[in-house]
Amino acid sequence: MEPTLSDRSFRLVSRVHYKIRQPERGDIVVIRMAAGHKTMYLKRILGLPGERVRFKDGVFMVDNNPLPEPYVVRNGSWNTGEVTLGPSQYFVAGDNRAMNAREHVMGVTHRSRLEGLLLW
Amino acid sequence: MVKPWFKIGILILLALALGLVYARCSNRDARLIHRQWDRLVGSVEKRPEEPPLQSLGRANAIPDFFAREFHVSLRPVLPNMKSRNELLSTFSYVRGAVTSLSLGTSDRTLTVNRSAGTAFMTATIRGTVVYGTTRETHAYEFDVDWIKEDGTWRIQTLTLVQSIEAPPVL
Repeated sequence: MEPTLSDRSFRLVSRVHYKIRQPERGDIVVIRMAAGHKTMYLKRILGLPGERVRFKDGVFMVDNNPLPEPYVVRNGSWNTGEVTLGPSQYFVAGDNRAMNAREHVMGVTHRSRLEGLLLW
Repeated sequence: MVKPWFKIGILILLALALGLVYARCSNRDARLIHRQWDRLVGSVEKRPEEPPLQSLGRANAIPDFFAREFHVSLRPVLPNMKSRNELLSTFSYVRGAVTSLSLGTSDRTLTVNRSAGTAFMTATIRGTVVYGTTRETHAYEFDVDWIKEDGTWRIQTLTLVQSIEAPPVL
């Protein structure tokens, strides 16, 4: 999530937020893995259920419209195939778009994997 | 004349003893599986400046952790593998391509079915790979089916699970 969040920093996460509210675009979320809670991903929600999304020349497209992303410092030149998100699916990515797309963990995750919202 | 409370006491003690034996056996299987997993992870690791012979020996040990019939599905990180030769060549290649690879299991769950001789594990591996001047840290999640063959727990299926499923990168 660099440059928005730096490595090895302490953060505060609300684990009740998504029990009462729906995830929104732009939220920085904690994504859990099945085995436990020691390792989790921090990603930003870019695509919401039902949307057709992709990266085109570094710009994130939602239903063929570019998504304004003021938090991205350097766009890079990512290109991905189009994905249509299912009813409980979200497209997430980090803010470090300068890195190689193949080395960046991004893509579709399920609502049940969203453990909480990053507050600070 | 044996008093009734004495008989009940003996029965309770017997039941407790049987329960303890069962629990110990279950724990023993779990311990053996955890140990096998840790040894496998250790065999995949590569230390910096590891002597080639030692590296070869560690790669050679990897197929021994798998059952006679197995399936390894690590896409998109590595190709799928179903034979010992594929395992050996893939892991030898990986170990040859990187300067160092350190791995650690950060989380795991395990369910053992003793009567069937099978077990199911989920595990999260955190790995730091160094190649050239590049250093990267990744986390991977696995589903692992174990089977007891000839008294030894071995992996029947190893599947990379993606909590974030990557789109095709063009």
